[in-house]
Amino acid sequence: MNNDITLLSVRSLAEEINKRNISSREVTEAYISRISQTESQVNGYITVTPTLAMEQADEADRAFSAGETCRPLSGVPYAVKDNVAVSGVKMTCASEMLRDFVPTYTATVCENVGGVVLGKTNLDEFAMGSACERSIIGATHNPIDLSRSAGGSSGGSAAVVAAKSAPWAIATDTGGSARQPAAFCGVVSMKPTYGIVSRYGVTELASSLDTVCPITRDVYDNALVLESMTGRDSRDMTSVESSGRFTEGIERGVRGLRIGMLGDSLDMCEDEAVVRLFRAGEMLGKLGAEIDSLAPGAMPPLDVALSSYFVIASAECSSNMARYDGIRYGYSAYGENYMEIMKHSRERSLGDEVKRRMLSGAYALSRSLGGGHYLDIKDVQTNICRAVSQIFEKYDIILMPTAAGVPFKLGDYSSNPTALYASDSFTTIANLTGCPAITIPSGGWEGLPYGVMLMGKKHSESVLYRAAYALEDSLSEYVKTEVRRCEV
Amino acid sequence: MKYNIKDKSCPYEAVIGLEVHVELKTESKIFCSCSTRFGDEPNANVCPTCLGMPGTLPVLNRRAVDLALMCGLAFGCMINRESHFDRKNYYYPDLPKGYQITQYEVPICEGGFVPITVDGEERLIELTRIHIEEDAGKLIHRGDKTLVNYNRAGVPLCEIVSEPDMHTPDEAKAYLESLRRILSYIGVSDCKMNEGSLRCDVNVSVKRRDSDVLGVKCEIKNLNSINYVGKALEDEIDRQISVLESGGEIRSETRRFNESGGKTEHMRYKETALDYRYFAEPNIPPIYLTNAYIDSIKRRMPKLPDATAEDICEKYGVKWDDAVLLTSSRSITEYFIACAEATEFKTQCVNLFISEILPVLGEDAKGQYITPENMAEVCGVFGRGEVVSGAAKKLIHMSAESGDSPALIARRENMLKITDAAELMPYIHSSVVACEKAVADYKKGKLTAIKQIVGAVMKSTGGRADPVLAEKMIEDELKK
Repeated sequence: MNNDITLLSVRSLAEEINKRNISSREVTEAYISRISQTESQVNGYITVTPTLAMEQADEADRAFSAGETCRPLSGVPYAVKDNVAVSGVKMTCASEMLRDFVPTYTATVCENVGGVVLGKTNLDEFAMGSACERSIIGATHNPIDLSRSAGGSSGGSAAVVAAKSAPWAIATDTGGSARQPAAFCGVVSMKPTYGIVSRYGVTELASSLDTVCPITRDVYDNALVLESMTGRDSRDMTSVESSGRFTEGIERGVRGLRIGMLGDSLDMCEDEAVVRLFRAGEMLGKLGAEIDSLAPGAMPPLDVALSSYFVIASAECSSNMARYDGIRYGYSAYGENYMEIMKHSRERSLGDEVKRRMLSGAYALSRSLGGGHYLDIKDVQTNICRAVSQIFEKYDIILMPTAAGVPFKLGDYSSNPTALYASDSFTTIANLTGCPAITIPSGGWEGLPYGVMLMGKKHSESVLYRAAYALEDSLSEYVKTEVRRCEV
Repeated sequence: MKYNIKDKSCPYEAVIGLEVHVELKTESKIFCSCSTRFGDEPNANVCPTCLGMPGTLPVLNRRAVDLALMCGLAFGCMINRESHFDRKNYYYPDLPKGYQITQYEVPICEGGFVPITVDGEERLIELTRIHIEEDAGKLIHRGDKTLVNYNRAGVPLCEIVSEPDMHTPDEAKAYLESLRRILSYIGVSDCKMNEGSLRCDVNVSVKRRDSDVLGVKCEIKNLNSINYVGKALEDEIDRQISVLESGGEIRSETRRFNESGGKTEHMRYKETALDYRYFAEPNIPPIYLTNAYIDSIKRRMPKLPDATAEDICEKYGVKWDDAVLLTSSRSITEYFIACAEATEFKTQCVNLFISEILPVLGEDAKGQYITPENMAEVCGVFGRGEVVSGAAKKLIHMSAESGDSPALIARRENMLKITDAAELMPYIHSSVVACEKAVADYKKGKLTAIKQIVGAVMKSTGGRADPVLAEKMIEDELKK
């Protein structure tokens, strides 16, 4: 019975709990027990919160039986990336710096959702990375092949959803951090339009690019969950109202949608990836979309986008990380004076990748060091936005790869950290432009999952969900035959 | 040799610019809802946001923008219809986020001027800009330990930067006085230097008067009274002149003022500009101000003190210098107008208010002294000639203290003027007897000697005699 519960979709769980056919407590217990089976192999959670979860579950059950109006996802368990604050629960950001940090505040997104928090999931330290291996608890393993990376930085969130040790999870995406791991683990993630999900309580990496995303097992669940996450927040001045209910009309199909497929810039992809991408395009055509290849050069050069992304993200990150000085909270080392306290605290508690980005970001902002190219790069960003919005004058959706290939082996990049940056090549465009983009499983090879991505203009989530919903259905056979089942 | 910089024949000229930080008078901090109250327990007014905890975000306090806007309107600045916040990145333990949110690239106000009067001469001091920013916390050094109080972190500030447009310490002092009068008058800030709600950094250089080439400037930080600004500038100008006179060169440096020694002291050289790695604050959208919004603030703004002073001059026949005193704060103006409006004896009211009430009010009168109704009564009894001016003055203080009706007090305490000749006659007699010499002088033709006898009558009646009646009765008496 327990394992059957963990197979249910978010949609079914919400319905069954609402109808009181099943209690939130039962569901939560099933997941807690599932977590205890999978965690030793997956290592997706930094903190599991069974006590809090049971409290929240009982409260949901009480509210339902009292006939109170509840939120759509009340009583449904979920996992939260450990850079998102839940009051009273440690938020480590996978860093020694915040190993014991317990926030007294809860992220707006979690308040909006109002579900049952199973625990906090693993990430690359402060969400900097694409492999989910630079963490105080070590790497998260891909449930489909435990020797491989779950992707990053939200590897924990993607892996626990794939391993059925959470029905869905909150992730964050600054340059691909939710979509790449979702693709690696064979699950679904939408990076929404910048601002429609509040960032309050979400540890900042690059404030102008950070988004909060749902990771789910299917497209419908994703739309359902995102609906609960959104809403303008008085605590986040950059937050905006979303375009509405994403599940409504999700089954309307793709007829009449104009879809442009990325035709060039695919050199860095493995051949098998290109085959999967074209196959998805063909499917969309068969389903009635007007599919066509983007004109060569229409898409801004992806390497330029990637470099711009790293300059902007590092610059903002260097400033956002400045608060960790060992004075008010977090890791604090002894020092003779302020600068020494800060230096020693950081030296001992921050990892190499975090230091690398803080340094390169400070350089990007520093005119006196001969850097200071941040402002020039903001101009490049403006040009990229212009080019992309020109594409959207002609197309509703751009179809492109989520990643260059299937999940790599854990440790493959440990000796060459910057080579890993290239794995964000396809994803950063959506962050630089603020556009929504969804990754869905498209089959795979060697038994490993591969994801394709649909990107739309700002606030076009509904259109993207419609297309993704239709495509998911027609690709499901390939997924079944080409990708092996979870190892756990 | 010692030069006097105020002297136009002095071969040197000082060039002075001021950077003034004023705390904007808001209930809550600029980016969170913590209280801005001064003097609370250390770290009582803090929250995750103003402590810079991960994931917290700034939410701009509209009131802070409105007050900064009022500041700009008061000084005739150009108001930028679009401005934004930037991050100034630097490390200090009192700075929770490791950066200060300020306006660097496009401030809310540019240009404008502050009117000053020095030695009766009016001048307008040009402003460079006014921008909004957050305050930092405060370090407290205890022996070998340093403590941090974050109550002040996130209190909204306006930084008012002047052009290097002043040339003497007196001008700098007058500039600060003027800023303080105007800002506190329109309610933008308390401007209490002792509580740090007005702080001042001074930039000063010295050049040869006949040269257009500016000298190298030094900055004197954290001056916390207008008096110290004057003293620090005097000392620093002397120092720079003597360096130049002895053939030396001024190095750009930051100095502090040692209050007990009255001297400025070296802190650090600043030949390389600090690199604050500024960039636009991504968490706060730009501020857009429409003409309609600016107008609505303008309409709600109290009249500026100088304009009010003009009104007071016109309406109550007050001298300009007195009107300036009556508009040194809004509460004083309001109090004065309440008193003046309550009585028909305007002149008496003005004079008594200035001589008796203003001195006890001090600079920032909060509550009222005597109530306007009782003040009107004092003006009434005085105006109708029922008491002499000395008694009227006493009545003000007595009524202020007890709250009693001045007319009642006057009767009770036997303060009413003696207007009855029969009642006054015994005093006339005794004074004429007592002032033997004056009487003799008067009789010899020195008519002014009579004043001395009137004085004696006043003295013996405790000031209650009607001096005109007394003089007439003495005359009659001496003619006998």
